[in-house]
Amino acid sequence: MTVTDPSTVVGLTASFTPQPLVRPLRAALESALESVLGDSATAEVLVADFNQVHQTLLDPASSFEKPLDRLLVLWRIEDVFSAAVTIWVIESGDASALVADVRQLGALVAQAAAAGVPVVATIPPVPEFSWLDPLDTRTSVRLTVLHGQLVAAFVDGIGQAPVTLVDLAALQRQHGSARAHDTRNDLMYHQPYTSEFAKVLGTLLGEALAQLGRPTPKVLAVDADNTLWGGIVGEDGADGILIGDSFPGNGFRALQQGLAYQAANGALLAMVSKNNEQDVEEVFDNRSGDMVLGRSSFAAKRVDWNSKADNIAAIAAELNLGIDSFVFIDDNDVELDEVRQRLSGVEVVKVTDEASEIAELTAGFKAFRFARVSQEDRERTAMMQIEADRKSAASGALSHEDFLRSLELTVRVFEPTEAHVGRVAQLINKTNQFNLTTIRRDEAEVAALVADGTHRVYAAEVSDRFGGYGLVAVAIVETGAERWDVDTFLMSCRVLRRGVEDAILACIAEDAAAVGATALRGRYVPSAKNVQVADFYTERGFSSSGEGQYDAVLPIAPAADHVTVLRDA
Amino acid sequence: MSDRLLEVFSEGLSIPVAELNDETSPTNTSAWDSLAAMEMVTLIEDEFDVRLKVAEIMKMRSIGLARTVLRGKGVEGI
Repeated sequence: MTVTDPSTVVGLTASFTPQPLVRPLRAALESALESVLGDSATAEVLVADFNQVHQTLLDPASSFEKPLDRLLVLWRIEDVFSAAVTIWVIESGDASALVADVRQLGALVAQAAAAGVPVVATIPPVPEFSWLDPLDTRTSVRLTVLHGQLVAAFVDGIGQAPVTLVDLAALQRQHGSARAHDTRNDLMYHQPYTSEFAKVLGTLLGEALAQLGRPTPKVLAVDADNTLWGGIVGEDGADGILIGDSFPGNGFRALQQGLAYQAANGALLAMVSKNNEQDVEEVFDNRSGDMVLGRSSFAAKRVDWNSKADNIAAIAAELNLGIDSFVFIDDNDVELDEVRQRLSGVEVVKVTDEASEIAELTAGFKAFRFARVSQEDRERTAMMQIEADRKSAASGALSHEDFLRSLELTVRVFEPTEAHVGRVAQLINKTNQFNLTTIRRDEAEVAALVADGTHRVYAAEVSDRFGGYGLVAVAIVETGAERWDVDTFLMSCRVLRRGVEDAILACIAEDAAAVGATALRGRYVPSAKNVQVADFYTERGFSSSGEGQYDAVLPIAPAADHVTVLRDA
Repeated sequence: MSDRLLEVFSEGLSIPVAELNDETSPTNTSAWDSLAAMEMVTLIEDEFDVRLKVAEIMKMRSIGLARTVLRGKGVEGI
C-alpha cells in the first residue's frame, strides 16, 4: 500500500473566464486519479483572478489560497496581447515586439515550473476575431504564419523547463472553430467557448493533468497477423497478406506508419506473434516495399507458439522495463484477455476489422498525447532545472517589479464629468472583489456627488503597452478641512496587482495635502466577496482607529515609479 | 411533477430546490453572482434546447422572469 495524499490541488490561471471548464476538468482528473489512487481520489480546482496570467506566473503562491500540486495555464493570443495582435491583423506591420512578448511569457511559464510546481500550459489557438471572415485567404495565410512564429517563440521561451503542453490550437482545429467559439459568451462573460467545447477542453485538460508524473507507456508490443498486415501469413503466404498502397492493405500500412511515428518519438516496438518465424522473416524479405516497418524497427521480437503474456513478461525482463510501461496491440480477444488478466498494468488495445479504425488506431493513443518537455526522465529533469535556473539567473530572472516596469503602465486620474457618470455608476454597482466599502449608488447619486462641493469623485483610466483598459477604478472622498475620508474605493479585477490602486491613493493624498488637510481616513466594510482588500489600508501604513477604520497622517509615500500618473490640469 | 427550471437553478446556484421560487433573484440570493449567471445560461440552453439572445438573458432577473422568457420562446411544460 502506498500512502498518497488523495487530494490534488490544481491552480488554474486563464486569459479568459475558465469556470465552465472546471467541472469537466475535475471529473476527468478525478476519474483518472481514481484508477491509480482508488475511489478516495479527489481534485480541487482553484481559479486565479481573471486574465492575470503574467501576475500568477510571477507569484503563484499569492495568487491561490493554498499550496498547489499542479498549475494550469490557459491563454489565448487575442486575450493577452489583444491590442498588439488586433493592430497587426488590421494594419500588418512588424510583429517582432509581439514575438518577443510571447517568448517572455514562455520564460515566465518556465520560471514557475522551475520553482517546483508541475505546470501544464496550452499552445494558444490561431487568434479569432468576430469581425474577420475566417476564410479571408490573405489574412488567414498571414495569421497562420504569425501563429507559427508565436507558438515557436512560446515553446522557445519555455526551453527545457518541465512543462507539459496541451495543444489548444489542434483541439480547436479538430473540433471545428465554428463549433468551438461562441461570440455572445465571449462578449458577455469573456468566455469564448460553446458549452459543448468547454466540456471537450475541460476533459482534455483533466486528462493532461492526470498524466503528469505518470510513467509513459514506452513499449508497444504488437501482434503481426491482422494487426501489422491483413490476413494470416502462415495460410496466405508472404505474397498473399494485405499490406501496401491499395485497399485494404493501406489501412494496415497507416497503422505501421503510426507505429513508426511513435517509435521516432521515443517508443520502443516489440513484435509478439504466434507464427513460424520463417514465415514472418519472409514478409520482411519479400514485402519490404509495401511494409513501413522492417526488422530493425523492433527492439525485441517473440515469434513462436508460447503464451503472449509470457512473451511480454520476458521482453520486459530483457529490456529491464516495468510491465506497466507496455501497451499490447492485438486483434484476438482471447490473447488480449489473457494479457489483461495475467499482466495487470499492461494497457491492451484491440485491432478491429474496420479499415478506418485500423488506420486511426495510433491516433487514439492518449498516452502519447501530451508533449512532455523533459518529463520522461527525472534525473534529466533535475539537471535541466539546474540549467534553467542558471540560464534565468544569467539572463536576469524577471522579478515582479521588473515585470511591472516592463508593462509601461499609465494611470490617468481625473474627476469624472457627465460623460463618465454611467460608467462610474456601473463600476460602483458591479465591482465586488476589489471594493473597500461596497456602497452602491445609482447614476443620479453619482452625478450629485460629482457636483457636490463636499465630496470629490476620482476616476482612473489605465493603459499599458498591451493596450488600454478604459475607466476601471473609482474613488469617492469626503473632503473635510482637516481630514479627507475615503468613502468608496474600488477597482476592476482586470488591473489588479499592478500598483494602480497605490497611484490613485497617492493622488488623493496629494490633493488633500495641497488644500491643507493633515489626515486621510479609509474604511473597510467586509462583504462576502471583498476579503482580498481586508488589509488594504494597513498594508499601506494606515493605522487602525476603530472597527474597520484606518487613519494615515499626510503626506503618505508616493506611488511606485513604474506607474506614470497623468493628472488633468 | 418536478419543476425543471427550479432544478436548473438549483444546480447553477448550488441551492436546494425547496429554497427556490419564482421570486428568487440576484438581489435576494448572494450565490447568484455573475459567474453563476453565466453558468445558468449554459444550463438553461442545454436543458431546454434553446439559444438565448443577450436581451433575453438580461430580462432573466428572477426565476419567474426566466420562466416568462422561456415560455415566450415556446418552451412547454414549465
